[in-house]
Order: sequence, then C-alpha cells, then structure tokens
Amino acid sequence: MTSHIHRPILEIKNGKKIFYPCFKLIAMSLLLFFLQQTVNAQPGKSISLHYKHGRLAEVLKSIKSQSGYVFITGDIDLKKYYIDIQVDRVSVGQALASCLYDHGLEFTIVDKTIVIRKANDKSSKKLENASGIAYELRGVVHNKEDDSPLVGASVMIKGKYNGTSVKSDGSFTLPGVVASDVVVISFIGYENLEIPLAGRSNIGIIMLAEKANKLDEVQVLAYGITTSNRYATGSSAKITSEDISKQPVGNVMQALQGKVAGLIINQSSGLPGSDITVEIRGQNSLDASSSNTNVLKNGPLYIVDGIAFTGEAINQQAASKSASGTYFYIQGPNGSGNGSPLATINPNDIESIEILKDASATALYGSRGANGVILIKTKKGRIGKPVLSVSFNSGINVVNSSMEALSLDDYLALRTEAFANDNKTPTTTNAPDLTLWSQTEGQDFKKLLIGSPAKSYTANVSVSGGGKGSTFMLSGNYSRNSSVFDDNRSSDSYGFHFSSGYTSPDEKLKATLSIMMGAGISNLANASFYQYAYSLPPNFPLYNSDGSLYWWSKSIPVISNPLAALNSSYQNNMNSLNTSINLSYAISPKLKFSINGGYNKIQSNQNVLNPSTSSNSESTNLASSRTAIYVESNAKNVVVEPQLNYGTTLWGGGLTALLGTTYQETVNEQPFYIIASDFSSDLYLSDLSMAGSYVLHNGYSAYKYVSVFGNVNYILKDRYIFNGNFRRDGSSKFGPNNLYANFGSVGLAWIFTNEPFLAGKPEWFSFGKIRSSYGVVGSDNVQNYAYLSSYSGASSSYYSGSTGLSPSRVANPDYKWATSKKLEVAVDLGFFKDRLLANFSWFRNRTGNQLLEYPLATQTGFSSYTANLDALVQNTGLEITLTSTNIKNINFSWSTSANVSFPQNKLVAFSGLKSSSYASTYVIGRPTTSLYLLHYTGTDENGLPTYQDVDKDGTITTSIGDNTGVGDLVYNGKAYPDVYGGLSNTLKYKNLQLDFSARFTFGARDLGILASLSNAPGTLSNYPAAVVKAMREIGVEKLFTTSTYSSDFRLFQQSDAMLQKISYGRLTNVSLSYDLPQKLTKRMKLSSLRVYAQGQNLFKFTLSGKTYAGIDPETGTTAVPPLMVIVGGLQFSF
Amino acid sequence: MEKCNFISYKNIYICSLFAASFLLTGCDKLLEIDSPKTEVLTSDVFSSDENASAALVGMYSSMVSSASMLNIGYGCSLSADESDATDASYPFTDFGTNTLTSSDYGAADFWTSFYKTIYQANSIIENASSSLGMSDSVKTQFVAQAKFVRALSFFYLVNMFGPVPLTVTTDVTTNNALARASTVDVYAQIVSDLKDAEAKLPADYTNYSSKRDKPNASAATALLAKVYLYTEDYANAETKATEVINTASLYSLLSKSNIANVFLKDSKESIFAINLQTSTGHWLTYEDYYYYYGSKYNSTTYVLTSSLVNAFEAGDARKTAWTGSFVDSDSTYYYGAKYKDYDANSAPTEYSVVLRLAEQYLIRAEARAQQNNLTSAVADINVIRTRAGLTAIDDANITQAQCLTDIEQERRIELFLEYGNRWFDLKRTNRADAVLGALKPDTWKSTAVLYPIPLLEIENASQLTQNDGY
Repeated sequence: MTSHIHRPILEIKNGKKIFYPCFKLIAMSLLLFFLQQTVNAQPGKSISLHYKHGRLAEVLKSIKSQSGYVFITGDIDLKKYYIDIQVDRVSVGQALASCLYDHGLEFTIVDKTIVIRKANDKSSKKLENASGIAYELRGVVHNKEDDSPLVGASVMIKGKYNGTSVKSDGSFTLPGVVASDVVVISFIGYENLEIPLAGRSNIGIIMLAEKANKLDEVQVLAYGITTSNRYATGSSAKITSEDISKQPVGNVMQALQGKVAGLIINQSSGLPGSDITVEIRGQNSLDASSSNTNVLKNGPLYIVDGIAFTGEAINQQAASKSASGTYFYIQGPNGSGNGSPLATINPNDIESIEILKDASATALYGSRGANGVILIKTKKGRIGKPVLSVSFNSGINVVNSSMEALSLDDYLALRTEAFANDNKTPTTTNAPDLTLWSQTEGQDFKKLLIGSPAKSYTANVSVSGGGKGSTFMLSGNYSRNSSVFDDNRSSDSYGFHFSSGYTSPDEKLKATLSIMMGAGISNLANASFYQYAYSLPPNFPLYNSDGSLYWWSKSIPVISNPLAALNSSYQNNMNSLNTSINLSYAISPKLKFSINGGYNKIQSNQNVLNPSTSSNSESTNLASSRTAIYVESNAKNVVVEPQLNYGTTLWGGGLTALLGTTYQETVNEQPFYIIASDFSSDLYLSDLSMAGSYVLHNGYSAYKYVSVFGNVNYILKDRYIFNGNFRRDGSSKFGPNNLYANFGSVGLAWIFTNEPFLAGKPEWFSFGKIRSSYGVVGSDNVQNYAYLSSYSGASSSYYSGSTGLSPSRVANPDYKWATSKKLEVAVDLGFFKDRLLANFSWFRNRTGNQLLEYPLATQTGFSSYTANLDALVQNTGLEITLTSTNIKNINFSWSTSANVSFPQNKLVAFSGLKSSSYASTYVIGRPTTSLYLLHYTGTDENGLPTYQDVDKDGTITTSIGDNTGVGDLVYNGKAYPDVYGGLSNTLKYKNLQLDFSARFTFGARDLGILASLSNAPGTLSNYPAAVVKAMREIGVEKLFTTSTYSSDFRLFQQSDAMLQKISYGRLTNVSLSYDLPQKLTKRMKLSSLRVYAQGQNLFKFTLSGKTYAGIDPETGTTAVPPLMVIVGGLQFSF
Repeated sequence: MEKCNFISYKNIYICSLFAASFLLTGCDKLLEIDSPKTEVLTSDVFSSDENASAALVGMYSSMVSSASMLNIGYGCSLSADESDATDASYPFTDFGTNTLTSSDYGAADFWTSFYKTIYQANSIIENASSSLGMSDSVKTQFVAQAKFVRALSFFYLVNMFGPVPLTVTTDVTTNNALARASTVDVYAQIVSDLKDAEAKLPADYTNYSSKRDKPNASAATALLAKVYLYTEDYANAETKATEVINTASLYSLLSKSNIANVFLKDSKESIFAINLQTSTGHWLTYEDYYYYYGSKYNSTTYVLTSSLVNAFEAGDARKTAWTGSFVDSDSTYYYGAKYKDYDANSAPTEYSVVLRLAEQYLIRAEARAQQNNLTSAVADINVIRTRAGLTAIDDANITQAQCLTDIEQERRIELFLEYGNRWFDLKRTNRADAVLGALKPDTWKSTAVLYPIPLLEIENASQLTQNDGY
C-alpha cells in the first residue's frame, strides 16, 4: 500500500488512500499517520493471519511472533474479543486495523511497541482542545532500553520551530501547540518519533529506541544522497565520531586502522603529522611504486563536507621538478613528507567517515573515485538548548620497537672478523673504532636519541545549539606533541570549526555552511634519528675533549654526528581552510534543486636553517656550510556541483533520479623554493639578503575536471532494488582528442527475507539480502600536462654562466583514460532481530589500459613517457564483516565487531611484457607486488653464499628468468598479506565503558631491514643485531666485510636466505571511560562528566614465531615506528 | 493521489537552465587550464633566437652534467693504468678492477647522459631547422654547434661501448626500437656531423665572447683529426691536425715556464674546453673534485698508480706542474693536479679542456709514423718533449715500432687523466691485454675493453645485444 523512499531528502507523501467507513475522521487520519509511520519505520513486516472466531489474545500473539512487536493492552480483557480475519502479506497496521476497529479498539505504534486502548477514551479527550486554540502540551520521554529519562532530548513542533528539551526527570512542557500539530521527538543516537497531537494535551510516556540496528544507519552515498545499509546496492562502511573519540590519534585516518574490511592504512612514520597511505581493495595500478611525487596511483578520493580534499603531502604535490626528474621539496623528519593535510583536520570535529568501495557506491564520484572514496562529514549543531562541552587529555608517546643494534663487544668482534675476512689490518685511518675510540665504553644510542617519552596535550571546546530553523556549532582545539628525540621540540596543532544550518519554515529551502581552519606547526628535528640509533658505532665519541662535536670523515663511510642535526632548525607550518556550502530548494514535493560549492586551500611553509655548527667544520668551508632552505607549497580546490533530484512512485515502487554536474579546479603551486647559502655568519640565516649565493625553483600545475552524471534508484515491493549510473567525465590531463569519456554502473539487490514465500522463516533469521554491482570507472591518475612537449629550466642547468632550458618530457598526446571494471557480489544477513549482522562481499576489480610512466630505453634521451599499457591488473577479495550485540540489558552490554579480508592480486595479462621494460618487475599470473629473489642454497668452500642457478647458465644473474629466459630470480611470495582484519569490542557496565580493538595481518613477505641496508656488516657502522645474528645462524659470516661495496652482499640482499613472513597483531586501542552518575553531575551543575584513559598501539605480537627483523612492518625500514600512546582525559558538558 | 506538478512552467524553466549548464560542461573550454607556468612549450622555445639560445645552453649543460663528460677522465683512468683503484669508492671500484657488471650504474650513467645530450642536440637540429621565428644565421650556428656536440657524444659512446644505437631524430618510438649500429656507421655519422660543423662554425671565438668554451671550426677540425686517427685514416688525420696546428693566430703551445697555465681558461693551447660557470661561481672540474679534494684530507681514494708516476722521466716539468703528493701512513701518494681552482664560489679561472693543441701534435706524429714518415713524426714528438723540459728523441735509425712506442709514452704522460685518452689508446692500439693484463693479472679480461650495455637498457629495449663477457 505504500512506497518506501528511503532517501530523506525527498519528502514523498503517500499517494494512496485507505478508507475505513466505520471510523470518525480524526481517528482515521491519526491511524493513517501511524500506519505510514509504522511502515516507514519497519518496512517489510509481512503479516498473514487466518482466524475464524479466534481469540484476540491468540491473534496478537501470532502478530507478535511474525513481526517482533510487543503489545501493551492495559485493562482490556483480550479474552472478550473474537476475531474473524483472513489476510495475507499485509502490514502490521493493516492487520491490526482489520482486527480491532470493528470492536471499538484503536492502537498506536511507538517504535516496536503497540498500545491498544478503547477508542472512546481518546476521542473524548480530543474534544478538550478545539482546533486553532493554543494550549500547553505535556509529556515524558524515556529511553526504551532501560526506561530511564532521556534528558536533553528535543521536542519540536514540526514545521514551526517551537521546541523545548526534556528535563532531568524526563518530563517536558511545550506551550503554544494547537490541536493539529505534530511533534517531533529526537535525540542523538535514537530514532526520531513524530506524534500527531490530535488535540491531546498530554501524550504520556514516549519511549525512544536507540538506533541499535546498523542496517538502518544512514549511509551517505554522495552529494547528500542517503540510503541505509538495508537498501544499499553498493559496499560502504562507516566510522562514527564515537569510534574516533576513543582513539588518541593525531590524524583521523589512523582511527580507521583495522576497522574496515578491504582498507589498508599505514603511517609512514610514528612522528606526528607524518604521511598516511590509504589503499582501498588493493593496488589497481602497476605503477604503485612510482617515484613521481606529484602522482598518486592508488589513493582514494577524499571528500570533506562534499568538497574534494587533497589527501597527499602538500609539499610533494606542488614540488617543482628539475629536468633530470629531481623534485624540490623538504622531506621533513624521517624523510617522510611530514605534511599530511588530513592531519590538519581535528578528529574531534568529525561526525563520521564513510568508506565507499565498489562501483555502485563510488559511481557518483566517477573517475576521481576510481580507487574508492572516503567521505568525511564534520559535526553540525542540533536544535535544542545550547550545549557547551569541553574535553582535554594529556599523555605520553613512546617508541615501541624491539630492534636493537649490536652491543659494543659484539660490534667490535664483528669489525675484527670483517678485517680478517678482508685480509686487511685495522689502522687509525680505516678503523678508528678499533684503534682510536674506547674499547670498553659504549653508548646505547637508541636510548639517547629516541628514548625520551614524548608528552602530548589535547584540548577541545565546542558550543552547539539551535532553534527556529537554524543550528550552529563552534569549536576550537589545540594539541601539542613533544618529541621522542632528546630535545625540546614539538609538533603543535590548533583549529577552529564553525558550521551553521538553516531551514525555512516551509522546509523548502535548506542551507548549510561549514568553515574549518586548521594549523599545524612542527619544529621536530629534521634528522633520521632511528637510522643513527642502529648505525652509529656504539663507541663513537660524540664530543671532542674540548666539548665540541666529534666527526669522522677520514674514511668511507663518513660518520656524521647526530647531535649536530639538533643545531639545525626545521619548521613546518601548515594551514588549511575548508569551506563548503550546500543550498537546496524543493521546487515541488517531488523535485528538488541543490547546489554544493566549496573552496579549500592548504598551505605549507617549511624552512630548514643549517648553521655551520650543524655540519662538519673540518670538511667544508664555514660559509658554504651555512644554508637556509625556504619553501612554500599550496593546493587549492574549487568545487561546484549543481544537481536536480526527482522522486516519485512508479509502478508501485519508489523511484528517485538525480541529474548533476561537477566542476572541479585544482591548482598546486610552489611559489618559491629557495636554497640560500654562503652566509658569513650563523646569525644571518634568517636574512636572505645576507646569502652569498642561492638557488631558486618554483612550481605550478593546474587541473580541471568536469562531469555530467545521472543516477536512478528504484525500490520495488520493499525487496527489489535497482541502481543505475551513467556519467560523462572530462579531464584536463588528456590531450585534445581524449578529453572526455563515458562510464557507468549498475547495482541490483534483492531482500529475499521480504518475499512472501519466506514469511514462515524461523524467527531468528531476521534479514537477508543478496546484492551485486558492476561498473566501469575511468581513471585520469597521471601528471598534469603529461601530454605536452615542453622545456624547463633547472638550477643545475648552467653553462658558461648562463641558465639553460632542457626538455622536460616527451610528448604523447594520444594517451587515454585507464579503465577499471568493478564487480561485486555480496550477501547481507541479519539474525536475532538484527542483533547479529553479517556481511560477505566478494569483489573483482580489473584495471586495464593502464596509464603509466612507461619506461623507455635511455637511448631515446628519456627514461619514461606517459602511455597506456595493455596490461590488466586484477584485485579480487573476500571481505567478511560481523557486528554483534552479544549482551544487552539495563546494566550491562557487550558488542563486538570484526572484519576479515582475504585479498588477492595478480597481473592477468600484459601484452608484450617480455619485450617491455616491465619484464624485470612483473610476471603474468603473479601478484604485482611479488618478491623475486635468488634461492639461497648454502655456502661454498670459501664460506660465501651460493644460490640456485635456475637458468643453468653457470652464472647467477639477478633478473627474472620467467620473462627474460636468463636469470635466477624466482617468485618468493607477495608483499601484501593473505589475510588481514580487525576486532573491536565494547563493554558497558552501568556508567563504565571499556573498548578495545586489535588488528592483524598475516602472510605478507618482506626482507625486513636487510634489503635497505647499504653495506654489509663489518664497515664502520653498527648493524641491527637481529640481522647479524641471523647471518651467523645460517653461517654466512664470510660476507662480513669492511668494503663499502660488496657484490657478494648485494646478491645476498636479493636472496631468500633471510625472507620473512610478516604476521603480526597489534592491540591498536584500549579505552576505558566512566561517566559520572547524573546525581553527581547535577550537583556540579554539569550535564555530563566523563573521565577516561586511552592507549594506542599498546603492543605488537608476532604471529609467525619469529620477531620481525626491522623497526616495524608498518612504517618500514628507517622511520620511527608507530608510537605507543597512553593518555588520560576529562570531558564535560553544560 | 497527489498530483505530479513536475511539468509546470516554473519547472520547465529551471530544467532548461540546468540543461543549458550541462551543455556548457560539454564544452572543452571548461577544461582549459593555464599552461604549465614553470615550463615552456617546445614550440615556444624555438620561436625566437633568444629562447632557442636557452635550449642551446641546456644542451651544453646536459653534456657536463655530473655523470657524463666530467666522469670520463676518472672512470677511464681507473679502467686503464692511471688511477689507483685500491681505495676507490663505488661505483668506480669496478672500473678499477675492470669488472664492471651490466647492473653497475657507473657505466650506465655514461650511456644515459650521453644519449640525453644527443636528444637535446637532435631537438635543436630539428626544431631550429624548422623554426619560423629564428634568424637564418642563428639557425645555422645553433645547428652546427648541436652537430659538434652530437658527434662528440657519439665519439665517447662508441669508444666506451663499441657499436651503439645511432639516434639522429627526436622520435622516441623510433629511437626506442633502434638496435646497435655498426661502429663504421657510427663513425660515418660522426664524420658527417663534424664536416658539417666545420663548414658552418665560426673560425674563431669572437662569437663566444672570446671564450673557448664553445666549438669553433677548429674544434671540429681537431675532433675530426682525432676521429681519423682512431679510424686509422692516417692521411686525413695528418691533414686535419696540420690545419689546426697551422692556425697559429689562435693556437700555440705554452712555454715550459708556463706549463702550469695550460689549463687556464684563456690558454692559447685550448681548442675546446668546458666552462662550468654558474650564476654565482662554478662547478668543480672532475679533477678538482676527485683528486684535489681527496688530497686535502689525505684520502687515498683518488690517487695515481705508481705505474703512471714511475713513467715520468726525470726532470719532466709536467710532473711538478701537473701532479701533487701527500704522505699518509709513511707512504707518498700522488694525485692529479692539472686543475687547481678549488674555489667554487667565484668565477672559474680554469676550463676543463677537452681538445688542446698538444694532442694535435701527437695525433699528427702518430699519423705520420703510421705512414712511415718517421722524421716528421719524431719532430712532432720533440715539440712536446722539449716543451716539458725533456731531451729530444734522436730520429736517426728509429724504427716505426719504436716511434709508435715513444708516441704512446708521450701521449700517456702529456694527456694523463684527460677525457679517457689513455684508455682509448690502449684499446685502439690493441695494447690493453699486454699492459693491463700485466698490471691487473687477477681481474683483467680481454672483453673488458668494452663497457657493458646497461642491463636496464637491454630490458627496456630488448633488441639491444650485450657486449661479450657480460
């Protein structure tokens, strides 16, 4: 009888009338309203009743068992009534109407509770308030779970903006209502209820139900289009502010680690502000390891409040590039960018983050979303009394890695052994560590350099509220992280967020505005201290006898004094401004026009000042050692997206359609990059006019993207869902002939549990849906201007005192859009009234026509050019997500969510691979991140390692034999895990809440730190103890050498002798919080007070039995690992 | 039933506005972006003489980028018997032991940067020729200079790697598919380019502000003489060397007392030299960088072989003027000191000399000796010996073989560390096996006379074949 349009932006009135002749008109409209409410809130409850003179009690019991509703019947004697009814597949409302109205009974449905009373009671009450005369309404609002007062819930008159909030005893009074008003009762985290007053002055106790069912959580698809998981045809996942607030993270993406199936998130370093790599459902491009810093091949699209947001380090995005391909930007501490713009968004300002994965979910973002979409929504104000809330916490951050360097004794023994192997004698020139420095006293450089616990402080204040059609929210935040290095430096951030919303009284016009400003200032030491920690000889004297810094540069490798880096200063100032507006106007009840617009700018200013004391005064002249680097980078995005939404009922189903366009303009600019040097004094480093010489660069690139798209969604009979998209995308990254291309997707879903033939399914099986989507998505992920032939200048391009121009790239005006074909099949199941939800998704993404920097033989003059490659990369995977409310009662609740992903990746086809430049990297049928290694077979008579001569040509060659015919590298597993996932638990006992989450990854292969060490053990450099130990265990001590280049060791590094399987779990988060009882907070004049303790990255456990020979599998071989964070905090609101 | 009022005039109006905006988005203008501000489109570069001259500077700059021209002297001196490889640093260790592998980036760097320079020369030759905005005289000049640079680059490539792909266009697809051309074809291209350059380049250096840092006609002639010698066309080698030697208005040997000034920028001995001047100072020449710098810190990484040091005859002024020494751990080490300008922060006082007059005398001596004109050959040798303060060789009763041996010795001493001369001499005279086999008995292999084609190169252009022994 009704259609269900589950896109709240469309206010669609029920089109059909139901007529019950024996009832009074008001009772009728009341009933009609409740029927709609009921069906809208609880779709798909199909009731079949067949009784001849059945007792009402029996009939209600049957309805209860079919629908899950409970009844409150008060003093009505159910045995008195006998019912005749024959209905099939009707709604609860219809069934009840058929049962009750003939007997003078009526009912109201409040959530899943149905109250039955005698019809006369109310019709008399109704007469109290004649229509048109204002009166005062009373009522009580309780939490349905535990029947406790729902303090602060808002009670509003629909369409009028008169409202009030619920007092501490649960009651409210609302003056100025009239008989025909409808009140809306809402509270965050609870289902809204609309109650027509029908003249009542007391609506009694209203029970609000918690939004317990994840199926009905609103999912934002795109452009404000919403659906619920129940009706979605695509794959998406959501993290809410509550999940985020439990985790003491600086970058909100870290809060997603392990929480979502198919999502891999790694931080490049544990230092605050460092870059984060995010990968949704695997690597689709072959060029994942591209050294092009301006290109991102596998990252998702970030949308903040509807506006595209640059997720990559801004200093790299805008970096200027020399003709020889060098990018000019300051890397920052650990060489890891130190400039993730996402870190400028205060996690506390975020309402929710959604991850859109498949073609159906990402279709509306088109090519930009080819690698998935991450939607970030910031918090908005709510109608009601203003709420001021304050929170602050402080804690410590500790480097938590087990990788140790050799002790002094072991180091000296290693050196002596290496000299013996080389048949060389240690001298004061080649072995100061054996001849000049202390033989007995060593230092623990790890402890000295990165052993200090960093302190962190965070504070947030926000005010929000609203009324009369408008809402607002204002918040500010500050946080400070000191350094794990032995210095007084820190990384600070602060921000400001304002949002405001307006709805016109007739609800036709809606407007929202959001302004967010964030700033991050870091002056962390710009040095790879972890690298020093394991490479500095333990007896390296840091100081000369006169107290000055000691250096060693008489032999190779030279040793820099790490403490000198502390004399350099580094500063990174990041500023971001994010603004967005959304206007919508309902032209008619079925047609709505809206426009989304926004502008954001992210700016980074970095400088490094190196005084003469920061480098070895012996080896360089003082003036030229004084250098100062100043660089500014910024990225600007403008987005305008007008669209029309149309919704109607059609053939008994609900149809929504959308027609929209997108215009996006992005400009990345590096206004200047200055390296000034030859200052005559350390004091002048900040005064560029005192520089004796300087080198200048700047960079600029622009990008435009336009698109026209349409989307149709159709839901028939509450069980058949169709979703279709079509779009025409245009991108400035292509040459004139290939600017535009067409793409599209189709999604289908079938809620089979709503089928009549399954009406008799067991009660515990509450929901079942099968869905599938298929789409073709384009990708324009190449550098701007790559189709143009051009020349550019470079600082090193000098001859005879003049500056020259060099060719910057080879023109290829013909390359086209890369295409991804995405297929997904999924099953969503709900059990025990949806307390247990399970999702199984299988996907297959095939990306072909790959758009790559195609390597050229350098005889062409270039090492690569941009071209389409006829290669097909396939990512498939199975993702399983379970959410369960294990226990739920008034005092205690326990819920669990778990996700597991089984990814698989392979290169399906690559025409001409063997003759292409990728012959040394990829093999058809193998994963694109495979390790091809020599097979270690033991040692020869000299104690040197031997390897399997796979191609039997008598020599060991480090190329892949499969492709080239000559070569001994063989497949040795892949760099991505077999399985990864996460597990989160929330336990609540009264006011106490404990959360913990862990994640794990299993089966990836990695050479650990061995692969990235530049020299064999034995040179004038300390070594990771685990590597030396492992080498001794397999008996290759003959590789220990003092030579800075050992071809034997180079081969060993490319062998499987030390290959590791990375299988580890990490307890990512533990959070314990306690809400003070209301009695106490009331006395303190607060509405809530929470104290909490949280821990992040508490410990890592190896699942493979062997400890990882490296600093941390997540952050790689040289960076500071994810820090262990422990904070305590307080949060209160008025 | 609620009436659908979608088709009202108001809606039609709004929808048509909206549709109009769709049509607009279909317009390519919406996708127009500003051109890359920090780059110049190739078509614009060759639109005027001024712009094109920046591309010319870019070509020279590419030629002297750290890996190509500047490393020849050091890399090849290690491959030969000039520099001591004992403490050399990677990637040069393998040059020293003649055990380069195809994956060493040292040899690969030569390959890559010469071809990069050749591309730029090709780009100038093609784009200047077809330019409508450039004046004809400038076009001719630029094309001639580009041809000289292209010839010079191929000369080093063919001497290091043997047969190499002959890339003479900017077409990337064509070039990527090229196989190795025969040595004969490569030399034919070199000669053709040089003849063209010789005809069109200016006779003197006035066009170049009197700096000898760009090729004039004599530079092309001098390189032709060298190419003819290397290809055993002795008559032509003698002719061309004579032409240079006879250009007395420009070139003359410095006296013994001035021998330390041979490498100064305005030296009358210099025919074509590389000028590493930047806007604020200059890059260091390879010798400054590798020898003088190392010697400052008593580093034994960049020192001369005792074989070379012992080859100097007593009283040779060149030993005093062009080498230096230091003592470390009771041993005396010698380093190359032809260049002494270590102050990178001021304008250069020296240019890195690629072609100079003394070599032309020795080219002519060898060409004459090969044509059995021994008296004239000895006369040329003696010009060089006398200038160095050594006694003249007696030409009476000298055999051709002895004369050639004397020339080899004189070339070794006069041209040590200069642009691979010794390494190429040993190879082209088939003396490498004898000399280097004796010096490096453990590691020397006959196939080491050619450097390996970089592995990556063969992977990227599979039609390329590898040299023997790799």
